[in-house]
Amino acid sequence: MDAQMKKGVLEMCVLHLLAGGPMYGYELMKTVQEAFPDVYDGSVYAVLRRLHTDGCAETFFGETSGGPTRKYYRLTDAGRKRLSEALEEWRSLVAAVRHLKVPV
Amino acid sequence: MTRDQFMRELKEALDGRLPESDIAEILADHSEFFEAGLAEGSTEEEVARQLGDPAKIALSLLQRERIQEGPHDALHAQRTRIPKADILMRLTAFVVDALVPALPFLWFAPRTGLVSFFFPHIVLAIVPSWLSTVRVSSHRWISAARGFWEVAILLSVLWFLMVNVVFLWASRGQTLGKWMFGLRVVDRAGGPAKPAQLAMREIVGKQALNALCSLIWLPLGFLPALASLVWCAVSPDGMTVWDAIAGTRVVDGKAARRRD
Repeated sequence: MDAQMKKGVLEMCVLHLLAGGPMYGYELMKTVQEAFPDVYDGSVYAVLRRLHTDGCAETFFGETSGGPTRKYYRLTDAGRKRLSEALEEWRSLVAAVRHLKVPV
Repeated sequence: MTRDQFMRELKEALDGRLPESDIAEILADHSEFFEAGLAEGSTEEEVARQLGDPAKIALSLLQRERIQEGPHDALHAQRTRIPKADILMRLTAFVVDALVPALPFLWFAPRTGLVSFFFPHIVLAIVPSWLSTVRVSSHRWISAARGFWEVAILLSVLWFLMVNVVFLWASRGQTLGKWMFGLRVVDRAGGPAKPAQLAMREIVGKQALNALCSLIWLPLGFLPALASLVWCAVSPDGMTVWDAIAGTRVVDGKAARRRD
């Protein structure tokens, strides 16, 4: 996948997953990689770090049932805003592609 | 690849390229990924395969950091977009910054102090005579504490040589004069200037250059400053001789923030 395109789409997907509730890093990474088998080598982690530094996601340490504490990621208001912007952009992109009758 | 191998390679790929605290965080996160994977019943090899090549992971993290600092294709745009600092502000800040180092001398050697920016070697050349004056003076205040005055003179010289550099280092690019107007010394690309660049700008670009010029012929000591004034006024990004030497430029921090 083209790097720029991948970056944007990945970020949107990660934001969407986090909108469903807090997740820990490994869980997120596995979920995304199941859907995008050609995404690897830290791409999802890099997206997570960026979202965190941009203030779109915050982290907290939580315990798994019986397991050790893990770093969870949770969406902030800025993150929710970023998600709705990304979705809007994505929809208008898809609409434009459809308009040109590209078989998608 | 085992967990230890993976962690070692990731650490090696990041070492020295990111701040220590970031590296520690990244390593802790990946350590946690292994814990989580193992808890789900995967082997170390399986988790390592899933995470990917440590070198490539490091690369994607480093790229991200670089993008934050300003990617290369955006350099030109950034350079032209950052507003040039007003020339009058620059000039006033320059006068303040030229006088601050001379403050300790202004009361006992006002004329030398006033022109010390242009002829810095004169200050250094005059120090031995100041010191010997202190040693032989029969003035009541001086003879009472000769050691104190000797130290005071040496500290004044240290202040003269280093005060602007120390200010620049401490405030990441601002001297007293620049701080008054919200001006800031930055890298040519618009990023933060390195400490070595800031030292270069003051010590080589101003003090050493002015000393060299005025040693050749005294009035030549004014040349770098005059050339800088003209250059600063006509160039689109407000260049000066010392900015060219240090690879820096001065931006109007407030204007840059307004733009954002």
